Amino acid sequence: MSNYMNDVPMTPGASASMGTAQDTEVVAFLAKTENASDVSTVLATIYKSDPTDKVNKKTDIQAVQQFVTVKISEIGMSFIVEEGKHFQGQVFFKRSIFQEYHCQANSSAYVDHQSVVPQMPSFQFKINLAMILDCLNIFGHTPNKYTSLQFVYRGYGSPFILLLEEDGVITNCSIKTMDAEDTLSFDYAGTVANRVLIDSDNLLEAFGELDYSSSILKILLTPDIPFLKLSTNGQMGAFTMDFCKSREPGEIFESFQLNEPIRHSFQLSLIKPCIKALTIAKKTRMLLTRNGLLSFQHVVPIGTHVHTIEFYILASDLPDDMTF
Amino acid sequence: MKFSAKLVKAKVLLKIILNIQKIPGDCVVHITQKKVAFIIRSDLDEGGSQVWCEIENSNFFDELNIQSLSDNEIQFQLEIEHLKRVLQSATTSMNEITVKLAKRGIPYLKFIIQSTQQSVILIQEIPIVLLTQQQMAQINEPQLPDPDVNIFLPNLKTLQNIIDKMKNISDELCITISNNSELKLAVETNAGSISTFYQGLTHATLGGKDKTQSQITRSSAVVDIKKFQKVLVLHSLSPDDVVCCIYESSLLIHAMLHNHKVVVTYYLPIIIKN
Repeated sequence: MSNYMNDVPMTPGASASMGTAQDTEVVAFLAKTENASDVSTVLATIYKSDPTDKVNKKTDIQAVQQFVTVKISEIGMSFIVEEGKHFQGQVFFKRSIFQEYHCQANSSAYVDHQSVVPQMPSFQFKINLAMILDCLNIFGHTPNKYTSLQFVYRGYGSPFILLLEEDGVITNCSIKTMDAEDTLSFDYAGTVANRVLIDSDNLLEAFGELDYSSSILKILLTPDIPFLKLSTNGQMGAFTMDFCKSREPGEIFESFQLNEPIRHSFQLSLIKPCIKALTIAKKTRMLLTRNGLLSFQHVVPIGTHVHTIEFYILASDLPDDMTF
Repeated sequence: MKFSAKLVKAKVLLKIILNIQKIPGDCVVHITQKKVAFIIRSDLDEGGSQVWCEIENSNFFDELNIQSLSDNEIQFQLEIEHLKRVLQSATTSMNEITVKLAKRGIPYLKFIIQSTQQSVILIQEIPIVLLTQQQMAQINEPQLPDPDVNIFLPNLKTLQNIIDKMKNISDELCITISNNSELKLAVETNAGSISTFYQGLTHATLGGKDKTQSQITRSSAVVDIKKFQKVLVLHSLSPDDVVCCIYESSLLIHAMLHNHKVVVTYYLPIIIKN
């Protein structure tokens, strides 16, 4: 064990402040916000805790813990979680939600202003998501108490630092960063797809009816009644939810593009985080392609800011040689 | 040997028991004219944790009667879980509680719980093992000198929130106290570290000595984080002051409840001292 009792300075100022005499380098990345809990609420939606493993929550045991790929660019921060090649959850914090945001440019970056995440972030690394969430929530949740948050990163190889402050008490979290692999990119341009934009509350109600003991969820999006149909087959038997029995689709969807009936099966366990996110979202865009790609894009307003949470899930009924 | 009393403030006593119960082991109860001490020591050979709690009789008992051949002091051992259960059932509604020492072959503590609203009388008995005065003399609170540094701990509930998250990182917690009003808590593993810094805390003046020093003194100790977490449950007692001191091989946490006239002192073993 390293001699951390001697190394870590007693007063946090020496390591936290960016302008001290010993710190003449310009910090590669710095972002400050007055409300850590907003960040933690949104980030928690992509954390999949293993309910069977409540005992062994130690961050050393890497096999159990979930890692997140962090991409930092001049337009904001992305946190991306993946499972195999068939699930991706992504949270994007645009720079405007921070009171202060400095990010060194990536000189070779090409920023496509149309996409949510630029092609070439300035910084990219893999990090333990459970530890970030524990740090963000370190002071617990006291009503009317605000915890301020600062992210600091000094470039490749250095730890990702979170500085939290509440009531004059400062917590300094330093998390080891690792090399990140490329994240999945789901391209559905040109494929036949059905899309709907719906009130998240309505969608939450629809998903609330499901039998969660089922391992598979069948989703049907179609231009005819009932427009959206969800079916499960679990311990309680076969269950079907018809979204709309008689009305015009325009009455239940804010907007829609339903071309042909598209039906696919998905692992219900992968859909669960998408459903959980509905509890904090206002509107959700749901997309289902003929090729079996399902995506949810949640619009999450918190305070005066709007956050975006996206999920991509591949159907489990696809032929093995199907590629994206 | 005689002991009988009407127990008042049973709810407070229950809270105290729920706290000290965090230290595993048999509980020694030492009743004197003025005070009752509850002592639990776990794993003495391995340098385990201890808790010494003292309550003032005038605050918890009415119609107190103690008589014994050894200076009117009585000492015995009991299972704290039994005492907890009796107090839990006795405090579910308004009751008059009488406790007395009794014997029916073996000695036991008898609780007579009379409901003030209904004519129901409940009798609960806890088996005890009497201790002699000589045996009690062997049980001594650790005699420690004035520590180099001490500090009044900040809000325990917030501390508990922090330790709750820190224990996910590591089993060991490093506590650093300085004499310039600073407290630091830290955990570290290969995956990273978390440190929390408090400033502007206060110190207790011990032994009447004025410890104003120009030099900054600092002391660190590594303790088992789960043991420390258990002590933080003290917040449920809303203590007025909680002092923390670092010694050579133990960490002392001393809580005072002024109006209830209760003191609770925990001794936790130190894994590494610096």
